[in-house]
Amino acid sequence: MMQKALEKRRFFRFLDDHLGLVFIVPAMLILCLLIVYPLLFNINMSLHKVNMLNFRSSEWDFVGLENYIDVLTDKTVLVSLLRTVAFMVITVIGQVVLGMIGALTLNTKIKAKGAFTVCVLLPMMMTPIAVGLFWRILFNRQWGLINYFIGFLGFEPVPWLYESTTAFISVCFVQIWWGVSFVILVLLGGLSALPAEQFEAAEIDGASKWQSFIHITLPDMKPVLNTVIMLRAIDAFREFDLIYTLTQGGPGEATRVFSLQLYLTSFESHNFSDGAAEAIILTIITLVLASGLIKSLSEGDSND
Amino acid sequence: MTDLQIGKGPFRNIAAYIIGILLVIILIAPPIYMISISFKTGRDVFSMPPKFIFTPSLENYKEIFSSRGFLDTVFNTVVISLISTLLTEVIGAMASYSIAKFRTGGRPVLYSVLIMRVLPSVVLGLPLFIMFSKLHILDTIGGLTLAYIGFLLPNTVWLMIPFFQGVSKSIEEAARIDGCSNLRTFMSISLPLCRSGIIVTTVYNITGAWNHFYYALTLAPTKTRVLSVEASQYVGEYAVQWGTVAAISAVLIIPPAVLIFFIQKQLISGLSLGGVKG
Repeated sequence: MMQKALEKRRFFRFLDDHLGLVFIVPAMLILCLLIVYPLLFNINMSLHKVNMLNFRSSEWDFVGLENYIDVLTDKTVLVSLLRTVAFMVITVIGQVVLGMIGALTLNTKIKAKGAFTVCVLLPMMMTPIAVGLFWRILFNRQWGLINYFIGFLGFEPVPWLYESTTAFISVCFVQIWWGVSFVILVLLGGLSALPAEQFEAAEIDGASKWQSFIHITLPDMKPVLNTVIMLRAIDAFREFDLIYTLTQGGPGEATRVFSLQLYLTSFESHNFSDGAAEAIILTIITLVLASGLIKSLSEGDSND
Repeated sequence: MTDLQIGKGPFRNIAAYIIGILLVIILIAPPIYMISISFKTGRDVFSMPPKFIFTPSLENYKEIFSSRGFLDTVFNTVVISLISTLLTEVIGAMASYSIAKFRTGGRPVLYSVLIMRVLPSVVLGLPLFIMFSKLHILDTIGGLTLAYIGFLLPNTVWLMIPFFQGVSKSIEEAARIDGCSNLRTFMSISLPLCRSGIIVTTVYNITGAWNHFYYALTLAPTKTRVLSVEASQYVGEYAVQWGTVAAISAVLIIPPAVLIFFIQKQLISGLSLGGVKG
C-alpha cells in the first residue's frame, strides 16, 4: 500500500515538473484532429478522384494534379478568384480610409466620447447573417429604405441586389459597413498611444495638421496599419456568411466570391476532389497573407 | 495628438462632431430600423416614409417562436455555445499558460496558433464533413460542439497568452518558494489574476459560437438546426415577410450584444493590445 501511494505521488510530481508539456497536450490533440488532420485530408483528397459515391470508402483513384488543372482552367473559378481579389482591395481600402477618419474623430476631445464609441462598436458585434438579412430589406427595390431616400433626392430607384454591378457594389458596401467598427477601434488604440510631444514640437515649428498627420502620424502608425490591413484582407478572402445571406452569390455569378465557389463545388455539385483542390488554393492564399500579418506583428514588437 | 480640431476657437471641434454624428447615424440607423420593423405588423412594415409612431406588437416574435422546431433550434444553439465555450476555456487556458510561462514550442507554436486562427472555416468544412460522416456524428450536438471547439480554440489561446504573460514573475516565484506545486501556482495565483482575460475570451467564445454559420450549415443542416442556419433560411422561404425576418435577426443579435455591452471596456483594450500586439 505504502509503495503504491509513494508511486502515485512520484507520478504526480513528475507530471507537475513537466506541467508545460502536460498543459499543451489537450489543445494539441484537438487542433491536430480538427485542423491539421483535415488539412492533410484535403491534400490527399485533392490528388484523388473523390465524389458522392466513393467518399466513405478509401479506394480512390490517384489522379495527380488533374484536379488542380481542372479547377485552374475553369473560367468560373478563375473569375471568382479575381472577383475576390477586387472585393478584398475595395473593402480593405474603404475600411482603412473610413476607419482612419472615424478614429481621428474619436481621438478628438469631444463630449460623450463613450457613447460615440459604443455606437461605433455596434455593427461589429452583430452576426453577419443578421447583417445580411437586414441589408437585404434595406436594399429592396420597391420598399427598401435606401431607394426611398434616393427617390426623395429625385433619382430613379436602383435594383441594388438584382443587377450584376450594383449587387457587387452593395456587397462591398455592406462588408465595409460591418468591418469599419473593428478598424476604428484598433486604429483609435494606436492613435491614443502616440506620444504627444512630437506633435507639440511640430506645431511650434509651424507644421499644419495635415503635415503632421502625413509626416508623424502615418509613419508612427505603420505597424498598426499594416496589421489591421492584413487582418481585414484575410477576413475579406474568407467572407462567406454575409454574401451568402445577401445575394447567395447572385444574380448569376456576379457576387460569387471564392469561398462561395468552394462551398458550391463541395456541397452543391458534390465534386469533393475539386472542392479539396480549391480549399488547398485558399489555404495557400491564407498562408501568404498570414505571413504578411506575422511580419507586421513582429515589426510592431521590435519598435517598442 | 492627432485629431480633427480646427484652429483654437470655440468651434474647434465642430468637424469632429459633424463626422462623429454622421458616422453614428450610418452605423446604428440600419439595426434600429430593423428592430423597429420586428415590432410592426401589416402595412406598417412597408410604409414609406417609415412610421416612427406605431402600435408595437409582438406578433412577429410570437410567429417565429411558435413555428415548428424553433424552440429546439434555440435549445441546440444555447447548449452548443455553452458547452463548446466551457471546454475551449479549460483547454485554452491550460495551453496559453503553457505557452506564456514555459515557452512551450517557442515562436513556431505561437505562429501556428496565429495561422490556425486565420484559417477559413470554408477550407475545413469539407474534410470535417467526410470525417464526421465516417464517425457517424454528422448532424449531432456532440459533433457540432467538437467542430466549434476547433475554431474557437486558436483565437482563445492567442488572446489569453498576453494575460498570462502579464502576471508578474515574482509573485509566481514566491509561491514556488513557499512550496506550491506548478499546478497549485497556476490554480490559485495565475488563473485568478487573469480573470479579465477569461471573462473577455468567454464572451468572445459564446458570441463566436452563437454567431457561427459555416460548420452549422455544412455539418448539421437538418436535425441539429442552430439559429444562424434557421435565420439564413428565412431569405428564401419568407422573402416578403419582413416582420419575421427582422424578428429572427433581432433574436440572433440581441443576446451577444447584451453580453458584449457588459465587457465593452475590456473588449476595447483587448482589441488594442491582445488583438494586435499578440
